[in-house]
Amino acid sequence: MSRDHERGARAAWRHNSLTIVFGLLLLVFVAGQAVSGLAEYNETARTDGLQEISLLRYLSSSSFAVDLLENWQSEYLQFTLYILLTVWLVQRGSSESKKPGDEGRGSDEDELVGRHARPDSPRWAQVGGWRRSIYSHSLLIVMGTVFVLSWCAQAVTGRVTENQQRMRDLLDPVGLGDYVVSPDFWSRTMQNWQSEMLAIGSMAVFAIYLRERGSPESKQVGMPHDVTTSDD
Amino acid sequence: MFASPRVGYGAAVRPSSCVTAAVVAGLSLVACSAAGEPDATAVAQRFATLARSDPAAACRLLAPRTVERLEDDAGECAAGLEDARTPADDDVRSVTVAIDSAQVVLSGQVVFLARFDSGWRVTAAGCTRDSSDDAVPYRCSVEGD
Repeated sequence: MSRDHERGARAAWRHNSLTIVFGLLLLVFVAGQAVSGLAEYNETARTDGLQEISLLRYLSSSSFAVDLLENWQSEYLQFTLYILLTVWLVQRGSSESKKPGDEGRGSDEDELVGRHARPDSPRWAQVGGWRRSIYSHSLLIVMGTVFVLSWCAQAVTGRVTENQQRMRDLLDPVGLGDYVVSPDFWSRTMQNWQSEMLAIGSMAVFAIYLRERGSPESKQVGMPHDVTTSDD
Repeated sequence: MFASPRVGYGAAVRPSSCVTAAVVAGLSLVACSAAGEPDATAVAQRFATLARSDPAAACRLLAPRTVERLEDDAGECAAGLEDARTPADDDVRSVTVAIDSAQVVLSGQVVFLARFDSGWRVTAAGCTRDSSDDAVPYRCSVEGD
């Protein structure tokens, strides 16, 4: 490996280690979910005197997909709500909140847009019109879109999984319209949503009083509890 | 997860969110295929015909546990099928396939099937509804445990 390439690789790791590590953890945990989910699926099949399936078949099934998507949609709902509501809602003393009094969209000067943009600001922050408007909300748009798509996909794959079980139980299958008002759909949805809201609420409050030295998610160890530090 | 948006977290997240959206769409397409409907229908129709005309051949279209149940009840599978007297009509009203389960609604009965390596096999037949409550299972003259 050339000295330039090595420097490039080290720099890439140093600048992107957070994304890389979480990406790898995602792969490891999805693999773990696949293996454990397959084991559970096949255990149920043996109990019912039915055919066990291969890992490849399981990965392409609605059974695996719905278990993945019900978690993904709630994570992106969490991000969407968190990004949106922290524009106007505050928690005094938290590292996860703007300071009381700073609620709202902020001035163009605060947001470095238009004539207040820096030379190295993103292009669409420098221009006006619809481009700036879209870019100003791009994070919410993408997070919200992924939430909606994954929730819809949860509905579609959840219906197929539910129908498989219903037919094993000698019950009629249900259509998508009936499934999205069914206990199975809303039980899966609500059990995920409640945990996401618990996580946000807990973090907002814990961050007032507790510390983790060196983490950007924490106030400085010696920072007073009633100081809100998101802009510091 | 809670990194402040003011330190560029949004820019780092967006590409992975696009990948997520693509994966979500792909999973939906793969997972929701209706492949298997023609095969399940053919097995259900063939079973309905053979159950009255050639029960021994019809037994080869049954799932293993359903065969065991008939053998437990009647001594042998073909005898059990004769006793069940499932309707012979095979006009298809509707078919639903979900992963490895299927329901074929014929004009005189409902047939439930499961997919095995050897193909679709009948898990329950001669099924009729006793209740208007969708949570109550069909009552079937042929079924496994």
